[in-house]
Amino acid sequence: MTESVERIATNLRKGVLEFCVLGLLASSERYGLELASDLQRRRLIASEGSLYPLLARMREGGLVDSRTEAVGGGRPRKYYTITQAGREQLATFAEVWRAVGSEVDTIIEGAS
Amino acid sequence: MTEDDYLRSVERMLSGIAPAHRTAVVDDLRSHFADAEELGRPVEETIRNLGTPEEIADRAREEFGPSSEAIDARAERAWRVLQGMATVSALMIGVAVGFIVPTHTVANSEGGDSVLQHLTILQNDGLWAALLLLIPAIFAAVPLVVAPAARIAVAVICGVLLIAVSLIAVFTVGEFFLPVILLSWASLIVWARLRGSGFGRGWRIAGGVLAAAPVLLSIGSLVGPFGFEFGQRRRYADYSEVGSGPSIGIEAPGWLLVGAIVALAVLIAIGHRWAGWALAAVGFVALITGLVAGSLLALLFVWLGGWWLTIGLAHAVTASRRV
Repeated sequence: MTESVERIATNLRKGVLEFCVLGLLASSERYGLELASDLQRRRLIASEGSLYPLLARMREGGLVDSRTEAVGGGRPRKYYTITQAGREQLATFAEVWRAVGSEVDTIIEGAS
Repeated sequence: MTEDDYLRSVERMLSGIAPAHRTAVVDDLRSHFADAEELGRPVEETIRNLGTPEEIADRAREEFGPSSEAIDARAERAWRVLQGMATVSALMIGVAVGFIVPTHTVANSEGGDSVLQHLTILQNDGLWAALLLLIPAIFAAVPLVVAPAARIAVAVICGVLLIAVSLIAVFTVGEFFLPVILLSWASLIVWARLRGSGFGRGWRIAGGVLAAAPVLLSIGSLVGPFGFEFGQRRRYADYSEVGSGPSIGIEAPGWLLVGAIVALAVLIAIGHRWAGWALAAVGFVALITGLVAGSLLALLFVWLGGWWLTIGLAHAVTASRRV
C-alpha cells in the first residue's frame, strides 16, 4: 500500500516539480538551499540534491536566471530568479493544471 | 563522508553529461554546503538531506540525457567508422595478398637447374584469381551503401559470407581476412549496443583484458613451461622452417611494445577514450607491417594488428566523452 502511494506520488511530482519551482520563484527570488528545503518540506522532492540538475536545465532553457550576491564574509551566493519566459510557462501550466485537475476530480468523484 | 568526498563523487558520476551542466550542478551543491554550514547544519545532516550522489546523477541523466536522435547519430557514426575500417583493411589485405606479396613458392627448372621462385597470386594464378581476393572488400562495403532499414539483414548476411569465404580459402589465403571479419562483426555489435543499453564497465574491462591477452600469452609461452619456439624463422609461403637462424625472441623494442600494449589495455579498462585510438593506431601499423614484411610471422602480425585495431576502434567510438 505505502509502496503504491510512494510510486503514484513520485510520478505525479515528477511532472509538476518544474512548475512548483517556477511558482516559488515567482513570489520571490531564492537561493538553492532555501528552495531545496522548501520543496522538501512540502514533500515535493525526495532529496534536496535532485533539485540542482533540474535548476541547471531550467536555466539553460531560459525559464530561470541566476545572479550572485556577496553575503557575509564576502562569499558569493547564487540567487535564482524567474524570467519572463518562466512566468509565461507558469501561467500556461496553471491553466492546464486547473483544467486537468477539475476533470480528474469529476472522474474520481463519479467513481467513488 | 566529507563535503569534498561527496562533491567528487557527484562529479565522477556526472561524467556522462556535458561539462557545462556538470559544473553548474557541482557549483550549486558547493554553495548549498556553504549555506547549510552558515545555518549551523552539521555536514552529515546536509549530506543526508541532499540524498546520495547516485540520486543526483539519475536526476541529471533524466534532465540532460542525450536525445534519441543524438543516440542514433552516435551509433551511426560508430558503425561507419568500424565498417569503413573493415572495408579499408579488406582492400589492403586483398591487394597485398593478391598482387604484391609473393605467397607462392614454385620450383622452376631452367636449363636443368631447379630454382625456387616466389610468386604472387597474380603471377601464379592469373588476374582473375587475384581479383577474387577483393571479394571480401565488397562484402565489407555493401552494408555501407544499403538503406538503413535493410542494414542489419545485409550486414549479417555479409558478415556470414565473409566468414564463409575465409573458411573456403583457409588453406591458402583466407586466414588473412580475419581482421575484416572481426571489424565487421564488431561494427554490428557496437551499433546494436549503442542504440540499446550501451557499454558499461564490464565491456571496457573485457576490452582491456582482450587487448593485453596476446602479449601476456606470448610472454607466458616464452618464459613458461610450455615455451614454444616463438622465434623460429619460417617461410612465408608454407610456414616451413628455414634453417636455424637466430631466434628473435623478444628484444628490447619488443618489450617496449609489450609495455605499451599493456599500458593502453589498462587505460582502456579505466575508460580513457584516446587509449582506444592509440591501440587502433598500433594495430593498424602492425597490420601494414604484417602485409608488407611478407616473410616473418606475417600472418601473426596481420591477426594481432586486426585484433588491436578492432578493440581499439570499438573502444574509441563507444567510450563516453570523458577525457
